[in-house]
Amino acid sequence: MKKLFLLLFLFCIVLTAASPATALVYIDINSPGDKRLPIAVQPFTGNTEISGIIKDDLTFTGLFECISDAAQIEKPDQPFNRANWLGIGIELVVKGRVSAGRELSAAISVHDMATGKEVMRKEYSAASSLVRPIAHTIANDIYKLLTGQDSMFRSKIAYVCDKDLKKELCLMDWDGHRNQSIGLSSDIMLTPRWSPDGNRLLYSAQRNHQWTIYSLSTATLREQSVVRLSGLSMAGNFFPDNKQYVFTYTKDGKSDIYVSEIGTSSASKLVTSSWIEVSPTVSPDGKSILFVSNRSGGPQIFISDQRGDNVRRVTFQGSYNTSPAWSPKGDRIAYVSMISGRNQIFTIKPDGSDASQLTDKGSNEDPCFSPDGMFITFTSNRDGVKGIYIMSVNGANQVRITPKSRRSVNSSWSPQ
Amino acid sequence: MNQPRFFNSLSVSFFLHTVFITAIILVVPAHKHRQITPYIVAIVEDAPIQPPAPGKLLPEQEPVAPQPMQESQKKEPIKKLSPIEKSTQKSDLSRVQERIDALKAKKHIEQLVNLRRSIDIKASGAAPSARPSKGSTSLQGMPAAEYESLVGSLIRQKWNYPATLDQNLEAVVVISIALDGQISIKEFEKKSGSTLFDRSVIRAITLSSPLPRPEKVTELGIKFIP
Repeated sequence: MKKLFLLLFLFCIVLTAASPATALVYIDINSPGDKRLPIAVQPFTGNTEISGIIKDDLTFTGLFECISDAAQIEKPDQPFNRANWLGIGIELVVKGRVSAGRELSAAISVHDMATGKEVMRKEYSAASSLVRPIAHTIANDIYKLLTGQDSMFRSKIAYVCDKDLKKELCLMDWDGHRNQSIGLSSDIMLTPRWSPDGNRLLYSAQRNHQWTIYSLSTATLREQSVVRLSGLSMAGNFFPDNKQYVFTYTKDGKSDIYVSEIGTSSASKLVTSSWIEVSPTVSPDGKSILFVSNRSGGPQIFISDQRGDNVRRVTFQGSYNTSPAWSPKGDRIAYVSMISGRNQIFTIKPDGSDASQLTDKGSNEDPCFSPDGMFITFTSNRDGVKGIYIMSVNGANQVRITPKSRRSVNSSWSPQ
Repeated sequence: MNQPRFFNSLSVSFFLHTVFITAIILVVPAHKHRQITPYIVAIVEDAPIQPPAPGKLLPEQEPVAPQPMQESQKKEPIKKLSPIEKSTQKSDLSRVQERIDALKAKKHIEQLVNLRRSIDIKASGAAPSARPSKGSTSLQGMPAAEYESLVGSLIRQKWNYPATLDQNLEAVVVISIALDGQISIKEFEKKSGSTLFDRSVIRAITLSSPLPRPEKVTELGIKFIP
């Protein structure tokens, strides 16, 4: 009996061992190619300008390739049919119909080629003069659908430009279009900085030999003087609460960093020493402050906590490093480093590692990250007159976005 | 005394039944596979397109068919009938010829099938794949690890993800490769958290289908790490 059970038991073991192994094999795939994702944006019936702007926006990101109209079998006014797009290898088809009356109205549908399903259907309407904003909004919705994140298409860039012998505060779209002066001029105007909520612009201006830091309401375009001292005061940026801000005050050749709040007339010292401290920049989370100091010889970038304590040097390469700017995630810092007598834009990690040079033509300064962290604007004199340029965070695709006829400096991106 | 005997014989009977049933389960499917020689189907379908059989017919027909046509164009319309009569007479001859050629072709196919079978047996002991597909090539006899690394490199070639975007991501996808090489995504085991990254991964897999035919239905976990 026992033998019989033993035999049965052994037989069962043999059977289990003989059954095929079910353990799943895993393989690693690395080093993807850098090809763009092909999509189709059909010319919108009723207004091809809007579809053109959407294409420009999406193409500029470097992530997408909009296939040419000639490669599209399906006509823009035909309903979407997946069969018409098979074989081209595209990811998404965007169709749109625009009707213009008193208002501009655009109906957009987006079709995913993987499933053949409509993944977005939206209607947009605005005043007929707002063709570009409506196009940027549609482009942003498509971008968000594909990446899960907002783009910088709808954000604005504030900068300082020359007019006659004065400086003016100007605004433009990310692509340099709708470039307009706000109508505020000064003898000198510097460092415009947006509040995180986009409701204020902080900047320094000298009028009648008096330096003042102003806060401009972007809704009413009313200017409010916030710091007026008998020396040079230079605006930094806001803390995440949109009220507190940092600035530099220079008197008798000595610069220190202060913190103040909109609505109060007092300020407290944040970073002070016997050396020069300038260009304070609060991190997006409000917990760290970057600034430039000459405490170790030449100007270098330092980081402190929000109280100005625990100061640590960030840059060690190069003898002249200035103009620090935080990326929106706070994971990188853009700055200017002087190389062979010319200023160049670099980025570095906050721990001081992974420094990377992004520019090499002309002299470049004032870097500022786009709100999505994918682009950097900066000032360059590479084409003669100083102008605002845009590039990818890795330095690719450097393009001028302000007219060559006009000197433009100090760019600052609005939030998304 | 009778009871234990009965119990013993019952156990033996149970044991033998189990052995017999498992033997049927294990042996019969494999045997079935061997009986289906799917290459026969493929070759027969291809045969009419292949040149050997019709190749012999063409040179005989060509000089016959165009000549009466050219003549008939020059001559009167009544005489157009005669070439047709001729062609019907000749068509009987050609039918016989066709049959002979068809038999020859059949013999040729049988030879090919036998040859193919022997190659298959040499290449691997397993049954040949059941559904040969158009786009994929068979890789009979390739070791599993080699096939997996081939799949990895083929999918990698189709994978694109911009270098400017966040590189600290990882996605794990479980795929199943059917006998015809078609890939199906079984499970998105780990999403990266980035819509574009996950999309790029699915796109790479979709574009890689069909893969070279595996020996058996293969499941693989793929880790995508930029």
